[in-house]
Amino acid sequence: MNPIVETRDLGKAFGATIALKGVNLEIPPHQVIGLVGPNGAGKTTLFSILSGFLKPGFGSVRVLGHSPLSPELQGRVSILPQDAPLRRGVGIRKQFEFFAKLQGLSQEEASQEAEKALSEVDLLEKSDEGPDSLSHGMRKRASLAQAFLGNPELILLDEPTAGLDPVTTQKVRELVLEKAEGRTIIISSHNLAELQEACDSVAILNLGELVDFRPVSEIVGRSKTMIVRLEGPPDEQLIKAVTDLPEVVSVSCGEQGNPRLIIKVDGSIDDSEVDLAILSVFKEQKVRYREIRRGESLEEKVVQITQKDQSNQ
Amino acid sequence: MDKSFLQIKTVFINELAFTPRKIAVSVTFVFFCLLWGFAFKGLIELNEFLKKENADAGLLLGFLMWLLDLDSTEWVQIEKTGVFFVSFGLLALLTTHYFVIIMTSDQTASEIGNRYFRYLITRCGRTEIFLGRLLSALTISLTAIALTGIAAFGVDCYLNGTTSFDSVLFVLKTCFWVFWFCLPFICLCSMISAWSGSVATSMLCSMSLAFLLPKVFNVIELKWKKVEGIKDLREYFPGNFTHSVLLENATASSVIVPLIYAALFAWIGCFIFRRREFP
Repeated sequence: MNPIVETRDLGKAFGATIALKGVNLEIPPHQVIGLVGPNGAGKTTLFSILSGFLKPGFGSVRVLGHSPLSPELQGRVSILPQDAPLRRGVGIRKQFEFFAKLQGLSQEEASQEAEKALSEVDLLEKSDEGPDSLSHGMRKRASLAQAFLGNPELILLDEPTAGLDPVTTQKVRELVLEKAEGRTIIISSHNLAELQEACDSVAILNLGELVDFRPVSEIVGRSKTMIVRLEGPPDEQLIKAVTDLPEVVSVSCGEQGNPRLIIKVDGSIDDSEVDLAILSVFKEQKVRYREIRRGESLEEKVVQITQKDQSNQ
Repeated sequence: MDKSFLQIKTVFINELAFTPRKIAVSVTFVFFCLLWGFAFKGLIELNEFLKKENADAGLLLGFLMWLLDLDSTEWVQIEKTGVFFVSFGLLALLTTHYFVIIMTSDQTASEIGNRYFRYLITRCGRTEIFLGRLLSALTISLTAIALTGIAAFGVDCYLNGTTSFDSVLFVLKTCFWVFWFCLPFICLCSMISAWSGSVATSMLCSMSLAFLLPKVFNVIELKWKKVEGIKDLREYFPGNFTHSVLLENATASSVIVPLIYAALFAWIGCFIFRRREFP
C-alpha cells in the first residue's frame, strides 16, 4: 500500500536555526501516528510542511501522493493548528459551514456537517456563539471539531489535548480513535500517556532529526520489560535474587530518588509465568512495592531516546 | 459550476458578511460619512448664500477654473455643471482613495499574522482566497462611493427642488471615475497586505504612495514645465487625476492606465500570496 506521507531527506531552516534535518518518514495508511519530541524538536515545522504552510527547505515531501500545495489535496487533508484562532465575533456553526462549503459541500450538506462536528465535541448548544465567548477548553474542542469536517483522509492534530481537563482529554481520545476508522491521523503532543493509549506507532523527533519510528508496543518493549516501583531503594540481595531467575535477562535500578527495578525478561516465556516468578521473589524477600507494570512508559522511553541522542551529538 | 469559481464566491460572500465587524472598515466608514456630512452641509450653505445674497457664482467658478487649470471651452462646460457638482466631484476625487486605502488595507494581512489562514489553506486554493478577498474589498469601496453619489444626488435634488437626467448622469460618471481612480490603490493594498502580513505596513505603505506619487509628478512637471505635453503624463501616476474626467473629454488613457496599475498590483499580490509561507 502506498504511504500516506512520504518524506525524503526533508530539511528546513529558519536563518541559522535548523528546524528539520534529513527526515525520512513513510507513514502507512489507516494508522494513528504519534509525533513526539522535546520543545523545538521540529514537530510543528513538520506539520506545517505537510499542510503546505511552509515550503520544504531541502528534500521532498509527498502527501497522499501529491505535493503539499497541490489542489488535489484540498479537503483531503485537515489540520488542528496550534495557536490559530477562529474568527472572533462569528458563530462557530457559521464558521464551520463556511469551511465545509470551501471543501465543496452544498449549503445543506455544510449545515449538516457543521452540526455533526459540533455535536461530537458537545458544543451544539454554543454553536451560535463566537469563539471569544467560549472557554479555552471549548475553543480547543471547536478547533478540533473543524478538523473532522467533510471526509479528510489525513488529519493532523497539533497538541489536541493541551489545556484540557482529564474528562475532556479522555473524550478527545475516544473521538480520535472513532475518527481513525479508515483514516490516517497524526498527533503531535507532549501528553505521552495519551499517545501511548491512542497511537499505533510513534515517530520521535529530536533536534530536527527523526530518531525513531516504530510501533508503540515495540518502543515501550511491552513484552520484554517489567517495571517495579518500590517503596524504598532496592538492596543487592533483591537484585541478585531477581537476576538469578531463569526468566530474567538483566536487571537495572532506577535513578536516585526514583526507587524501581527495570527487569528485562525473556520474551519467549509466557507473561504470567514471568510475573509469578518475580512476584514470588518479592514475597520471599518481603519487599514492598507500589506498582508493577509491563513495558516502560512512552514518556520514559522518549526521554531515554532523546537524551541518548543528545549525548551522542 | 467550476470548483475555483465556487470557492471564490464562498470566500467573497463570507468576507463581505464579516466586513462590518472589521474595526478599520467601520471606523473609517464613520469618518467617511462625517467628512461628507460636513462637506454637503458646507455646500448647501454656500449655495444658499449665493442665492440669498444674489451673489455671482462666477468668482467661485473662477477659483475652480484656476484650481483645475481650465481653458475657456472647458470653462463653459463647468459653468453648465454647476458649483455643487464640480465641488463634489473634486472633493471625491481628491479624498476618497485615502479612505478606501484604510478600509481595504487589511485584505489578508491580519489573518496571515494571527494564523487564521491555517484553517483555510488546506481547504481552498490560495488564488481563490486572494481573489475572493480582493473582490470583497472592491465591493466595499464601490458601496461607499455609491452611497456618496446617492447622497450627492439627494443634496442636488434638495438644492434645485427637482431631479434631472443630467444630474443622474453626472453623479454616475463621477462615482465611476472615483472608483476607477481608487482601483489601483485597492489592489496596491492587496499586494502589500499579502507581502507584509501586517495591517499597519499595508496601510502606511499604500497611504505614503498615494500621497507621494502625485508629488513626484509635481516635481517632474515643475522641472520639465517647458516640455510639450508634460501635463498629459499626469494620469500615468496613480493618485493624480486630470480635470478632463470631471468634464466630458476623458481620454482612453484615463480608463486604461488605472486598470493596468490595478491588474499589475493584483497579479503581483496574488503571485506573492500563492508563494508565501504561513509560519
